Amino acid sequence: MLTDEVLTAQTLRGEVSAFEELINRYKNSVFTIIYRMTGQYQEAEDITQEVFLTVYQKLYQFDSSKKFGPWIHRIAINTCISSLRKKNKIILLNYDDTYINQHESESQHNYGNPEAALESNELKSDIKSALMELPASYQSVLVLRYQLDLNNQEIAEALGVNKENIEVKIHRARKALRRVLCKRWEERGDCR
Amino acid sequence: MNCQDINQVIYDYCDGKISSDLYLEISQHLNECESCYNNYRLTLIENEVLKDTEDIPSLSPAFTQLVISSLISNKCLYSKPAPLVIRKDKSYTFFGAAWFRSLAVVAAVIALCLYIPRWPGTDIKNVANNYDSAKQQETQSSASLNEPIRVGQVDPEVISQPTQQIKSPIYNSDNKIIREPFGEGFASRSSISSSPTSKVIPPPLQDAEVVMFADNTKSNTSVTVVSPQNIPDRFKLLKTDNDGQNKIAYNYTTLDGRDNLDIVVITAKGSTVASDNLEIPPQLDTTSLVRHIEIGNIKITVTFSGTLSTEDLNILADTIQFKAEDTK
Repeated sequence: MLTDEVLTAQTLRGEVSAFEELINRYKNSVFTIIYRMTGQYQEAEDITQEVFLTVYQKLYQFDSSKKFGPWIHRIAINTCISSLRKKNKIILLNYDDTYINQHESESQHNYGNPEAALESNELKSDIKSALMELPASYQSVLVLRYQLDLNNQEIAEALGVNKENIEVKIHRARKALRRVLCKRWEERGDCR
Repeated sequence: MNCQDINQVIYDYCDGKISSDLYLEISQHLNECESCYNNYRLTLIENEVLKDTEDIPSLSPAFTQLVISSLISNKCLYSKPAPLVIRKDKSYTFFGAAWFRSLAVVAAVIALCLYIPRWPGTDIKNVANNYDSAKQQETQSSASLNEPIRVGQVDPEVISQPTQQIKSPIYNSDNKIIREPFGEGFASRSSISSSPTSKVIPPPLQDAEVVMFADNTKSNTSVTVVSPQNIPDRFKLLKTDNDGQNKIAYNYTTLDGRDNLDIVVITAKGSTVASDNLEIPPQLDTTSLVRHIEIGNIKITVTFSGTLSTEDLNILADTIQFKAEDTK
């Protein structure tokens, strides 16, 4: 089985079949990232196609000494953010405490019994909806960790940040997700 | 460890990224605190949902081909490098290119032409000798032109050359002169077009200038011949400038070289001469005189100019005559 780096080299030599293989390898992961960030199938498919077109056009910039996966995932995240930004459908925040500080008072929430909610699948739906409300930076780090099961190094390369900060970012993203959930429950008067 | 401490490490506890001592301490707290236990359960459910990919729809099977088609339609595919055998082909090399070979041949010819005069043993003297021998050959060939020429025997190239100097008259099949050497004139302008002298034996050879105009209104073979006659002997012809259409200029100078005479003949057949052709810019220290002359249906406008006085120019204008004939 040819490695990704070999396939990229073959693609640069004009072998379209090599790029087809790269598409088949990464189309699901790329689509997963984008679908989780957009929540719409058609929009996610269009952006995924745009991602692969961009990857092909910028393939000569790829450093073959590094892994291809994080590189294409970074392009996917950036392309998705750029596309959502054009449609004003995105919350852009850096990995700072801004989002957390706004909901600091909710940290001592009484969560109630989650088992009952889980049975009706209502909790799953709430969590997924809350994930969609997160800033893109939080969405991407959670998707890379939990959906794609990437390690810290791969996430760091995909996001272009230091590896040591990944755990902190994931923790903040989880906190943010929990606060969005609590806010939803409070708005509905649902005490858990 | 209180509930706030548990809240800070609950994610690591659920992910198993915690020390065994801390793990036991947190587990003991979760057994005692219902709120923290619910928090722990919610975190586990969150993890389950975050890892869940079952709800993600799959891409269409034709997605890959869709991307490839987009690349092809956008014409942004990376081109395959040429096979090695083609790269070895001389046509792909700089020095083997066809255009370069052609350029090299042209450059070599030009260089050869420039270098031949400097060739050892080919000095200026030798070139001059070559010129003299060439002039002798020209004299010999011009001698053949002194023989009477009849239409049908005339070399078409001779007729087609407007500035060709011919030192003998040219006759048509009816023994009429269609070209006459210098000196064979006409008694009057009215007799120019039907000169009875055209049937006589050719006169002694003199310097003569025969001018031919291509008649654009007729077929390509029609030629109008106009020539000045009765030029005084004190003038000699320096050069003739024919524009190839209807204008010809003769440049004469006196034998002592003091004065010059320019005669510009503009021919118009069947119509008046265009006014723009008549506008001849005056020159310093020169006088000019314009005469309109009709020779049959041919109208010519002659401009006499030169360093001569106006009186001399008028005398010359009255003296010099013109002959014009069409021939096919």
